[in-house]
Amino acid sequence: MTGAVETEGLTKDYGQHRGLFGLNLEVVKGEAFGYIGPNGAGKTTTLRLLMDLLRPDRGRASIFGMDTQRDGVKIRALTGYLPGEAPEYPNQTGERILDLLAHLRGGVDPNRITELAKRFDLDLHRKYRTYSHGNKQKVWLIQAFMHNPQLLLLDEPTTGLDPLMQQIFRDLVKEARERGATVFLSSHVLPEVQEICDRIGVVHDGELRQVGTMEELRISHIRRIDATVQQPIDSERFARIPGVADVVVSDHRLQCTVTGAMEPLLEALMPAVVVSLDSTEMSLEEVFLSEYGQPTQP
Amino acid sequence: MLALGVGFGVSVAVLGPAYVAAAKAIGGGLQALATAATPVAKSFQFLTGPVDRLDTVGGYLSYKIFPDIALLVAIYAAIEGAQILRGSESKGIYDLWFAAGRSRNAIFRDRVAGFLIALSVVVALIFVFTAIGGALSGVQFALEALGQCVAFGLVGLLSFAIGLLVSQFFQAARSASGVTAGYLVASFFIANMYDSLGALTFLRYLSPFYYYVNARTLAGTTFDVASMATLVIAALVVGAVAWRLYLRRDIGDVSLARAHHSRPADFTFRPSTVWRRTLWLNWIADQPVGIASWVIAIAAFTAVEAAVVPSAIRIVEDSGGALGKLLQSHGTFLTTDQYLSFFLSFTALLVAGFAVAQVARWASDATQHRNDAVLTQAVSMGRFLMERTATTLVLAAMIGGAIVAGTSVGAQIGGYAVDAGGLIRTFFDVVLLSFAIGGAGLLIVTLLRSAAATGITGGLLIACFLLTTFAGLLAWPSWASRISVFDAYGTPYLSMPLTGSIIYLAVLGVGGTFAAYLAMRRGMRIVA
Repeated sequence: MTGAVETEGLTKDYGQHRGLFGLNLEVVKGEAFGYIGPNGAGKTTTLRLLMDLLRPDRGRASIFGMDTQRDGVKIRALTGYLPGEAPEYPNQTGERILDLLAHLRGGVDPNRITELAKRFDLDLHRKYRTYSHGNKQKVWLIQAFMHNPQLLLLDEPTTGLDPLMQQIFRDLVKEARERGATVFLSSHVLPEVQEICDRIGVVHDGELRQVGTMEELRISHIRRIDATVQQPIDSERFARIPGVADVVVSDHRLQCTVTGAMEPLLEALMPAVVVSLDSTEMSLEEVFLSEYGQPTQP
Repeated sequence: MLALGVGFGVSVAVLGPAYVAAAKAIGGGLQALATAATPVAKSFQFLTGPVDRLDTVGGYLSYKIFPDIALLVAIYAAIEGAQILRGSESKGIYDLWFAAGRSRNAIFRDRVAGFLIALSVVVALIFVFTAIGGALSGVQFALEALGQCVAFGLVGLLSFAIGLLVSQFFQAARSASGVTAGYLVASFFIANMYDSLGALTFLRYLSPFYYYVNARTLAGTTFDVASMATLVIAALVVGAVAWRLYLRRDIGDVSLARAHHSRPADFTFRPSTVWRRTLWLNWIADQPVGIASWVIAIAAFTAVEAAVVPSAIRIVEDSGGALGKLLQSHGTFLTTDQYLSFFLSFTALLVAGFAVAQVARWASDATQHRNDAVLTQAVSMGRFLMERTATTLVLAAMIGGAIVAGTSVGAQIGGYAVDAGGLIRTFFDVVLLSFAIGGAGLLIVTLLRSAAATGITGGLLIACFLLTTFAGLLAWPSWASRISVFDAYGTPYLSMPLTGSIIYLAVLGVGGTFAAYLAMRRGMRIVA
């Protein structure tokens, strides 16, 4: 194992089929990897296993070739971790929280914290309990970036951030990547994953269902079709075409999705005399929703 | 709440028959036992309040356990009062109630009603068990028991209102609980020893327990309606003030909040001094008010204990020599050191209380994800637990120091010399006891990672205390009491604890910490 992040059969079983099961994954150095999936899919469990906050029931994981259990301290020294649930320090200021964590970590440049606070527009001298949700998130983003880590493990990083701050976050990720850092990002904000990440893994029910580049996921998957025809059409006939789904026929209009080759659908449409035909690639969000249970909105 | 009612109830039910059995065992019946015990009991009056009618089971219960019941029910009620709104606000639950369409008044009404039901259950349980205890002892005092239970119930009601009021001025429920509990403990002692306070005797009117003492119907006093009415009226007035303040303030903010002055945002990060450089120093720096409160309270308590030793001995000497003769017949004499040692044994309970407060803090660190923040820096599990242990030892040393200082000051006031060796042994025994409880608590928090860890640790300590109290009284086998950490703590001021006890406490501390480490390494779903 020599990638930035590698797992072999990584399993954490909470019972009742909750947890993470047999995760085999490789994230290469310098890559930005998006990790997406619905609530309870196993994203946070994966990140907590990588940070050695949880211990696996089976399998193993390594970061930069080091075992996450045996070399946890060395790994964490190289890693910036943003927890999915923000810790609560109600009576301390942002500065005191970062101070403690910077001292525990060691080697953090105070000017870097000041710079990050300025960029995030975070007043460090207010009590944590007086921060808004977004400002609390900024404290944890700063601690994740403050030591210029070689690996960023980020769990829902833009939760609570306004669009301007989301852009600052994306800039920081870009700068980290320019330095050669690897990014492992779990998120529900799919456009963000789409913008930042080179590859994406989709996890569902604790299992990794798909891994690929944006292009691979789009090509191998779904296009949305909106066609207007002159002749009446039979919706059941179209639903039987291989790769066609979500068929909605109203008046002389057909809306559906197509996975894979378009030819069978086009051949079926020809007799009805096509007046117009729109074919659009589905966004990652639409792919995700259509694949994992929620109806695709045409 | 049920544990409180049943725990105290069972204790009351057991103590009555045990007292009767003890009277039979020494011969001469309850009268003879009362003659011998009353001077000693009166010498501890600052801990128990007035002592009357020890020749009756009711009088004995009223002296032996009802003061503890009144104090602990009051503290329970005060904590409920402090938590009932403030706790929900700090957890954000309050916002959900609001969002669900409940008004401030409705929330207040619901919460108070809930507490009144809980308090009624506690009072009813203790009343029923007291009546059962009386029946088992061969006496009928249901009406008297009811009177005294109503009395401590009303103390609970006023304590609840005080907690509610105090919580309007604090953002953290824990701070409000601490301040209210501190007030109640102080007022408990004031009610017990106000006649020795000189110009400050008027302070007794500020103590709920002063009014409770006037309705100790089990000890043969009348049920003083005026005192009870005072408690009710005080509870209503204090509760009404709390209600008004609650209606006028911002949710999540405090009454009399300082005006917020806008200032320019400050982004500059300035690394701190030594306090944030290690975890253990940081954990100590995080709780200055809490630690100071404990240290001052324990120092004050031990100072009072030490100061009253001469007067306690005088009470015994003035009792006509009956007790002296009894002790002489057993070849023993009462000395200043013996009295002081006995009094200092109560500090073990305070040390246990402090240790439980630390366990509560650790549980809160786990549930509020602060441990995650620490463990995801370059910190190993071993270092984390070692620093926890270091914190425990340093805080225990502070508590031990407070006991030594308080005892020395009290002895100075009382005009006698303390045994330096005894104080040194007490200091180290306090540290060892804290280490033992801390080790066990660390394991429980690691396994449970919830507030339940605090309850379980506290429950185990209460079980230890009951074992120490009842094992001798009920002639249980000696191994039963040896399980108790309080038994292992011994009487360090008088003599070195037994080697086996020292080993037992050390094993609890080391074993608990090591087991917690193993539990973390095994990756229990939960991390302390």
